[in-house]
Amino acid sequence: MNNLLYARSLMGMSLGFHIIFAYLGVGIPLLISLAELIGIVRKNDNLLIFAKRLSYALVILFAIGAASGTAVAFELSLLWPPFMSFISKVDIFPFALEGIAFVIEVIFLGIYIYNWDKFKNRLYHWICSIPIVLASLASAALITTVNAFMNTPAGFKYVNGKITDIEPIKALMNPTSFVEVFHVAATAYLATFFTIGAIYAFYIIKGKKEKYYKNVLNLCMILVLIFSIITAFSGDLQGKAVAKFNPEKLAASESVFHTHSGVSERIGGIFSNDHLLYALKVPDLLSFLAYGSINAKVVGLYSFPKSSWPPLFIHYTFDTMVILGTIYVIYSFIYFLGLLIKKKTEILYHKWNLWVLVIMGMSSFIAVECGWVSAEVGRYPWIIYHVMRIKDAITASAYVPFIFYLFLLTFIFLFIMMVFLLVQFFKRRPIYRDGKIT
Amino acid sequence: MIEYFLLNLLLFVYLTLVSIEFGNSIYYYVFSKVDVNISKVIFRYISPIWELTNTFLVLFIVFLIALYPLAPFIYGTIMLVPIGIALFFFLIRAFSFVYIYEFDENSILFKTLYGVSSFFIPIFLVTYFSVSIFNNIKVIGSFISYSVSSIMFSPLSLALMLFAILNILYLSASFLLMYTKEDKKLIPEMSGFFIILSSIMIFTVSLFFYIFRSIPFFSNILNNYFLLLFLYLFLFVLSQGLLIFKEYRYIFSFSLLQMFLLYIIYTLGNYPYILYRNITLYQLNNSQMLHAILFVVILALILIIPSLIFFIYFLRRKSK
Repeated sequence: MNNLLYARSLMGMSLGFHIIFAYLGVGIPLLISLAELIGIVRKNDNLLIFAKRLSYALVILFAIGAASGTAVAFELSLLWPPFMSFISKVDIFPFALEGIAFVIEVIFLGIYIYNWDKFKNRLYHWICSIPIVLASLASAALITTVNAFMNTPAGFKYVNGKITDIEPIKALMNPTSFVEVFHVAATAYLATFFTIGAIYAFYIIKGKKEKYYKNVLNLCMILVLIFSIITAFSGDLQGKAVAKFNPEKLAASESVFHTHSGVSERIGGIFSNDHLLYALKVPDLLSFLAYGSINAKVVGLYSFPKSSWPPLFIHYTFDTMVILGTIYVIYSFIYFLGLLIKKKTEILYHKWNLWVLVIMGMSSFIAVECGWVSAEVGRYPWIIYHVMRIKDAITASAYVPFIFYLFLLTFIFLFIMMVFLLVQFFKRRPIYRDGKIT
Repeated sequence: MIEYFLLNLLLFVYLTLVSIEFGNSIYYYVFSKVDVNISKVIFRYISPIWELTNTFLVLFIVFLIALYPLAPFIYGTIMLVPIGIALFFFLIRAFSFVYIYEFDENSILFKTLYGVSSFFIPIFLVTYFSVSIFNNIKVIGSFISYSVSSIMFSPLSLALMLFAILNILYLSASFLLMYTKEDKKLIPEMSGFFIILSSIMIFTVSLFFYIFRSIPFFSNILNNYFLLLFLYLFLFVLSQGLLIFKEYRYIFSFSLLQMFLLYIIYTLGNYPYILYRNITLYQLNNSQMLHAILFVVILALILIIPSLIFFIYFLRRKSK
């Protein structure tokens, strides 16, 4: 392996680790806030207790997320100094704003947690959760705009290595900012709600009889339905944006080699000499999804020099993401129907259904990781699309492999620890400490 | 000039908070070996909210990058190893903290990891200062010549590492003295530490200025700002007096003042450089980005100050 591959692997590993905490850090505040609000309005103490317990879990995730976020923030400068020098001149603005959002989030999280029973009117306490929700969303949105900038750089002119006409606002509001933020926010909520729902489904499998567990599970599943539909919609917008601005990425994700019209959507398959064999085909679907017309022309990889092709494996990660996303919409819709038919609700709590739910909930972060791999690896060979190549952005330091192995060991250790901690968390904190559930 | 001031303010706030945080962690670990009761008192002053300090570090880095485009390029390249190791300890520390805080306060493995990582993070972070005040970095175009071993193990770096640890222990000792005045157990222990640390620090500071007097940073201070240095040492003596009269509350204020003075001496000594001979404070970013950053600062003041007031209001209401 050369230094470039070490640096890319290290960055990918760190981001892959951090994204889990970042997404949970965005999703959990909304879940806490909604649970408390519904708990107040419907006078359901179970949901209030859930909100309280979840806010403690958020503090733990926050401690780890802050550390992994610090690591990622530094790695950007340590591994890619020329890239950060460039970003410094054009698009450092969102990073600075994100710092404020993060501080606000921490302050209100402190207020929210340490004043749980201090308000006579619980609605005032709920109001304290709104800044947490907004600030966490703002942090995610701002950092995502930098990623959007890397996909569709804007707000500057770059001629002969000189940067002129810099407009930080335009860089922030670049052409794909909105769609990317929309998709990231929707998936962050979806993945979090599904994961938490899966944990509570697991409790019911393990024989918990109280209504509390069903309350929480059903709240999560209704939210999963809402956000899986939003995710599908935002994903469609995102796909169209990629088709418009990053055609190489779309071609690689969908394994389109020859430019032609009426392109069929191909799922799965095996690569052999620039051909995708044995794939499942849906005629004309890709043209329709990407450009809104079944006859639209899709640019294939052969239209680009082979040196600027993204790795072909992103076809699989992309498919995994899309398939999982589709399954979530269908499954949560069926679950919702089950809730509507009052007599049949018990079948939802059947062991088999709950196991399906647990597996699906746990897979939601696989879908997230797959999506990010497609988005990031799909930009290869560019770190900033058509402006800076990855190989020009790497540090001149010779010590990248050393840092890579150091972090590899750390992340393996931390990942095992993380799973262990999350399992232990609700076990070790007996529920009667937070109130009496029914 | 405002930018430079802001940048230094951020770094100073970070250094103060992190000194208290890491110092408490180190004391907690040390006392958990000696006297568990004392370590339990110290543990009360350790909480996940301290992770906010990391934000100041990240904010400092973001502002450094935003104000000086050369900074990510030069610092980023040369600091890969020391900061990389520090980040490794950051991750270990966060996880072991969560473990002892939420799951098992008596786990020897995670207590050790927590204490050891709290000790090593400042040691590796402080290389930022040793690089900033004196270095052998040559930047020719996009090529940077430097030596990792000299960044980490030069006499100057080692001296600053020692000084950083002493300073951290000193500041957090005074912090614990102030906040645990109700708890009689801690006072004799912390007073002992405080006196020993003060005398070692007076000795080391004088020694360092003697050893490194040929380095421009130190000679500059000795020639131009000798009075400030003298004031710094004088404050040490004064805090000993406060200790004798058991005025624990003022000791912390004095230690903070000392820290502040030390930081001023550092900036004056290194003026006008951010990174000695390579980045001066005038090599600012383009004006568009500076305006954007100014906007961020104003927004920060508008949003953060009321939130903090809100936070303190609730904190006080709780204690009543």
